[in-house]
Amino acid sequence: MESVKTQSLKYYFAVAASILVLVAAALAVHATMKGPVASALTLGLAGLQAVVVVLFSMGLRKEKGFNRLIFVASLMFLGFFIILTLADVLTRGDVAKDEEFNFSIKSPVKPLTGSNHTIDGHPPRHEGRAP
Amino acid sequence: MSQVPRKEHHAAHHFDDAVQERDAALLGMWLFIGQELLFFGGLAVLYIVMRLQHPGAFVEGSGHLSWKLGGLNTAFLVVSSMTLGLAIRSAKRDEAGKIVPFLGATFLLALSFLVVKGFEYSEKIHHGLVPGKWFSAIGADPSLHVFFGMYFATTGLHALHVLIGMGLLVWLMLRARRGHFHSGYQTPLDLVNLYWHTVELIWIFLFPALYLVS
Repeated sequence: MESVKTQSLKYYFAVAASILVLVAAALAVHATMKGPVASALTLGLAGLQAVVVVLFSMGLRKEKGFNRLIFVASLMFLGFFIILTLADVLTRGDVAKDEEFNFSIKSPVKPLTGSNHTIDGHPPRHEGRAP
Repeated sequence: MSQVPRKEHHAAHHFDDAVQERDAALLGMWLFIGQELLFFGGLAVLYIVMRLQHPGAFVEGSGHLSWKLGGLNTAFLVVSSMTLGLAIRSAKRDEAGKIVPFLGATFLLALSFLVVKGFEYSEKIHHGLVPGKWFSAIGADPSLHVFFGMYFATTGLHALHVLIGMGLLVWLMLRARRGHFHSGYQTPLDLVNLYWHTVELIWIFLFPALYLVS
């Protein structure tokens, strides 16, 4: 039987090489820059790598329209999920001023010695009640 | 050219033909990938919230991770995706003798990923960085355990996906040896290829999110 049409070997090497170059760029950013801009850049470069993987390795650009819709819809729901969560978390201080005290999960990092450990040096609150 | 005997594929009885069977399989796989994105999306949202609440812990925690090992693992996954793609190419070109070697290379690269991950985990366990009652590290940030909770949850789930992928690769190798894949049929290869790229995709984001925090 005749072979079906395939991509050239160069295509596979080029896709892998482009992802590795983007990884190297992210490492270079990490080595030379600090702060939130560096984090945003490395995550942005990860986004570019993801675009290369999805379009060229997974072949989404040649997929059927409905399969494309499934993928894009998943990303949209993930976006809604993140936006709604941030809308909640970033505006909580406006609603309850003492929420950090009530719900903060921060605790000192120290070796646990036995069962009488306390939170921030204070005895457990709401004694006798389920947490 | 090849010594592998070719086994023709017949579509299951509930499909009109092989094309409909393949389309249904790909549709199912893309739906699975969509749920995988949302599954890891929950962890991504948790990561964003925790990082906003404990920025110092993430910077300090990331400093405990080796970007060299993380980068090496990224390279393993990227190259493994390429070798899996080459296995499909060989099937499409009826080069049956090359399918198993390319699948084997993919398997070995996946194994290398897990070995490196094992070294990383062992170091973290040794340094008392496993959250819960095992956590004994003294960190500058009081919430260091939050970072390592995220680290073990996300990378652990990802490693489980790698392990499942390795099982699928073994299954593909067994079928390839029996001549199941050729220019007329590569659907299982295509499906595992999509799964494996999803695993790669998740790692592409985990690497900067955990190893390159500044």
